[in-house]
Amino acid sequence: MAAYTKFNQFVEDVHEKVHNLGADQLVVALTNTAPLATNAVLADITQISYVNLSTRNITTSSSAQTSGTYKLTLADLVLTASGGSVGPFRYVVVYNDTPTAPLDPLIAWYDYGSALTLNDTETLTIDFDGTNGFLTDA
Amino acid sequence: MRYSEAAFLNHIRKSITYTGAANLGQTGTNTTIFTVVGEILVVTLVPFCTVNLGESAASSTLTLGVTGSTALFIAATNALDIDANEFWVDTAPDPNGIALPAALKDIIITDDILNAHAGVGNTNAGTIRYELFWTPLSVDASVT
Repeated sequence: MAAYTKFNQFVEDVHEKVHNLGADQLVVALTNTAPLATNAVLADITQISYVNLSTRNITTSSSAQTSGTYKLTLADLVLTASGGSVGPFRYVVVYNDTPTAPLDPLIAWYDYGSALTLNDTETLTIDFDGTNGFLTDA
Repeated sequence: MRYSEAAFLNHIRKSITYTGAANLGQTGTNTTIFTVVGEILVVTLVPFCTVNLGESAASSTLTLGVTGSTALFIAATNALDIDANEFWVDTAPDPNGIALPAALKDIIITDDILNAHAGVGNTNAGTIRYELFWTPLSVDASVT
């Protein structure tokens, strides 16, 4: 399992109308350079080339509260290399592709543990927690 | 705010065509299918035959396992029993569909995945496609 590490700016952004997590398009970015908690927007991340990679868009499964606890649930994302290799990369960053000010604010990242290269036809499934949700807020 | 962990699941596919050459079907040698570094969890490993296997003389067998435990996944199976459009999941390959045996899922390994070839003849024809779903256990884990 890979632990979720939040970007510090996210907790402010989520309370200052930057995010609409129920409607915005969340996207995965890949990097082989360790993100910093102080990074705030996608431009702070050194991304790899996505030439041979499938879509990085994440499908939001649900965004709702129950008994006062908000839960955001994301569908698993399968990244597939096609036509060549992808990477190496080690970190999987989740950001919000919808806002323009700030542009593409960061949410969190996961550490794969080592640098990974997807060769042609290989896949990596990012299995988001479907039970507890990507995040909850009570 | 509370956050949840995520899991990673890797998938790699490789087709092996057996020719009877050394390390590709010759008796007494092994065919390396996947090179494994570090420790991994084999979530599922599915071998599917796409071209009938053949032998140079009766009989030829092959296993599926890892270095040091060459029949970890499947015991010695007659090459001529592995035909196109069959799942080679045990010593009696199955067409159509079959429940994946326990030996082919949730197995932890540290070594290359391979075939060990034995018998009088060599496995000198045919192709098996191997589908491996895996997840890393150690930081340095990789499969190629």
